[in-house]
Amino acid sequence: MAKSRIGSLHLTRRAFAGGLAAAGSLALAMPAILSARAYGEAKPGGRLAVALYKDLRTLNPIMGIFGNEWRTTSNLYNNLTRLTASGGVEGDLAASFTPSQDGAEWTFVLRDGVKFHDGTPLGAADVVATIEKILDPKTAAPYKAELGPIAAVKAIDRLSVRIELSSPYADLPKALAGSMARIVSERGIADFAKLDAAVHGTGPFVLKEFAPNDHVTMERNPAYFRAGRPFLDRLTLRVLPDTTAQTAALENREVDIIADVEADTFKRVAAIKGVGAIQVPGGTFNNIVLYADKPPFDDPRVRMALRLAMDRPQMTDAITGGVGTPADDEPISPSYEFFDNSLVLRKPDLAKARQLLKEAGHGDGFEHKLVVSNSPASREKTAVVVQAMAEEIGIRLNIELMDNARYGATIWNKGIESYVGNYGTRPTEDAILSKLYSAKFGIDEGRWAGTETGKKAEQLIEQGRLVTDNAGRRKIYAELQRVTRDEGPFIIPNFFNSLFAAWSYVNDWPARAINTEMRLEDCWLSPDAPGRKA
Amino acid sequence: MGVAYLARRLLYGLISLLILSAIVFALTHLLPGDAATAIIGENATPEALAALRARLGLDQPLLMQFAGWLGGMLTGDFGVSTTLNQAAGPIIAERFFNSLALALGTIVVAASLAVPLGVVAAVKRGSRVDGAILTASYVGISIPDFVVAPALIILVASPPLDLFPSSGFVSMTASLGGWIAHIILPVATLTLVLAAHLLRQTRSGMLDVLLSDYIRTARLKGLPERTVLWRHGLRNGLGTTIAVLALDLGYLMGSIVIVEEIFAYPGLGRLIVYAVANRDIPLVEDTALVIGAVYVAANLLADVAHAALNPRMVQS
Repeated sequence: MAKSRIGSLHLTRRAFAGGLAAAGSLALAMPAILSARAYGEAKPGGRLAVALYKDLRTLNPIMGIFGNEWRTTSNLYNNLTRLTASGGVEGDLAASFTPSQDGAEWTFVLRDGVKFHDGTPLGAADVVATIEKILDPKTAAPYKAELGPIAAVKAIDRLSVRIELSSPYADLPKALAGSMARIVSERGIADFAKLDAAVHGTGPFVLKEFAPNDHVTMERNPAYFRAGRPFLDRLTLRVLPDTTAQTAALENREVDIIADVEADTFKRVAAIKGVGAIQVPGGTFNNIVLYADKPPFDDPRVRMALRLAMDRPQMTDAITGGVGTPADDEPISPSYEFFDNSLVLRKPDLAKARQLLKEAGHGDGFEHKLVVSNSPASREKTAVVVQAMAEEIGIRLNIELMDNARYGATIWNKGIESYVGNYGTRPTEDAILSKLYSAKFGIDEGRWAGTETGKKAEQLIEQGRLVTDNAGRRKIYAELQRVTRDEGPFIIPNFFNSLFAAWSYVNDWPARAINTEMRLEDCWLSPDAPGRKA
Repeated sequence: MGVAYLARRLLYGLISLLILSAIVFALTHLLPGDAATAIIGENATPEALAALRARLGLDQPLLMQFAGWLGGMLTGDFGVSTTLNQAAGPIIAERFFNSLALALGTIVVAASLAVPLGVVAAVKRGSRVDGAILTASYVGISIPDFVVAPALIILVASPPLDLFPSSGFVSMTASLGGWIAHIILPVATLTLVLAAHLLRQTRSGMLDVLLSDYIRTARLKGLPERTVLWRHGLRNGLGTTIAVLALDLGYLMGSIVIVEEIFAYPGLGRLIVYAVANRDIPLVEDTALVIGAVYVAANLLADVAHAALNPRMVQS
């Protein structure tokens, strides 16, 4: 297990060195791998400090919305299931999970002998309490919809839970690995208001101290159900919002890892001797919303014209600083299991774009307003780069910048003005596709589901939920990638890679595409790690 | 100085705080969006928003919300932060003491540098020493804190020097040494920014006094220059400097967001920016009130100090 992880890390580091073409970094990254091999197997003990960028308000996994909040809870709680490094799914608290013949219900059998941090044993009632709390409309859980079409949850016996679905849902085990579905004890759920700062979980670490938006300190859970895990004695996550301070803290070894390096500082931290800079292709993207139910983008030719004006590799470079992956206006990145790698990236064709605009009656181009929230900063970069490309064919985008709370309240998903959306990697294809394109399961963000092609996409999304064999699903999701790419209501120029920087003495760091998970139960420190007092 | 004078000033202070609270409350409600939209973000459905608003009490009439907050305040209850879902009192108390430590540290260091230099510059006005001090202060005024802070991190908190922790915070009770080590760079940054204008203030205050009739009288009386300067000059010349210091204390308590952000220092400034960006009204109200109270208290103290230095003040 540990060996294969090191292998995959090795690959990503090599890929990084090649991609950046930074002469020093290959040599610098190598000692990390050598040291991990020389010591052979994991050593317990030590203290790890991780720098996070921003927003760590709550430890309540059900009410979190920021990646850092869930990165934290992934070390304090467990889910029923968890995703594997290759994007598959395996049991976490569940020892087994099986669907009924018709796929309308699933039975989860829990591991025996798992204990919560307060010593009470894990049982079916805890799972029922957690899932019912997420589904309760009064809870207003932000990610409720991504749990899937759950109709009821029932405890069959002490360790077995039956989940009944309103329609068959092949992705249920993966959806339950989602960051909001951590299993909280019945007692914790009963005291829901306190969950923002108190932990009622089974996870590898127990909470020691939490200062919102500043730091959280955890200690090894000696009663953790995976024998020998975790290796670290203490884990501190620190919020460091300034990149200069972040880099200096890493350089001084006040922190051992930066968990989300800004693209602008990636090369700088890679140049620190002994630090490995890691990038993992991710599925996070910004989408320019072109409403398909109102002029001018209700005409598919106008949407296509704008697509044809985009030079995607060049845009990816400009927006991500060379650490991203070009995208083709659809949200499934290569990090998803059913990504169709036979799709060829659309090349810009300005002549054809102008021709399409002319046919649509916009021979002289037009002006269009694009609203941009100030957070995260990548939205503005995306807007400016798309603006420059659109200008070439006479589409003049007027950018209006506004603060994020105002944007959330007045612009996002309101169906009025075009804007730049921002979405993270999801555990399944269905989670992101149904959220963005389905009026039935999601928000139909581009108001496209009512059009002829949008209806076709909606049907495919429904089919994807029913079909259980992988070959069949691969076909459906390939078809969905095509139709959303050619007809959909978004411009998506690129995916953002997940960027990390770690000292060479940190081993088995879980560098994953999904940046809401950061389980450190397998992470361990080589003997040359510095001692740390606090 | 009479008790009546003090009581009157205190009453005015309380009235201004009440007006401040009402204005802050009204203004934050003019902003689009509320804590519910900030908590749910880009996952909002109308039902979820309504449920959350009900849970947070945001569906109450505005006047009721304000009255509820004010009523709690009068009994010493700071309310509950809507986005952190924790009692606001302890959060603010901790940030308050962190900011106070930073502010007092800065004021002590800045004043002990700036006041002597300002006096020297005033006494030796027009000389080379004066020129050098003035030039240095110009440089201090013109370099903004967002340049000074990263520069200090790169120069003294990174290899090879690596003298101080680059950022972060350790509480005084956890480790006194750690606390001092972490506060040095933020204090140094703010001192560079503040000392310059404090120095110029002292110099011009002293110049006015040194050119005044009573100083000439004192000199003509044949008093030694030292007595003229320290007993008669400084006493009166420092009046404006003290008033400026009082305003600086307020400024340091809540407006040094950039410095707190860069050094990841958990003070009131970062807290209020977070609270506004997330529409956490109780937290905005509490923080604004605390910072306002510091201004009022600092001004009161400045008046008392000024009056103590110059007894004629009380009569006027």
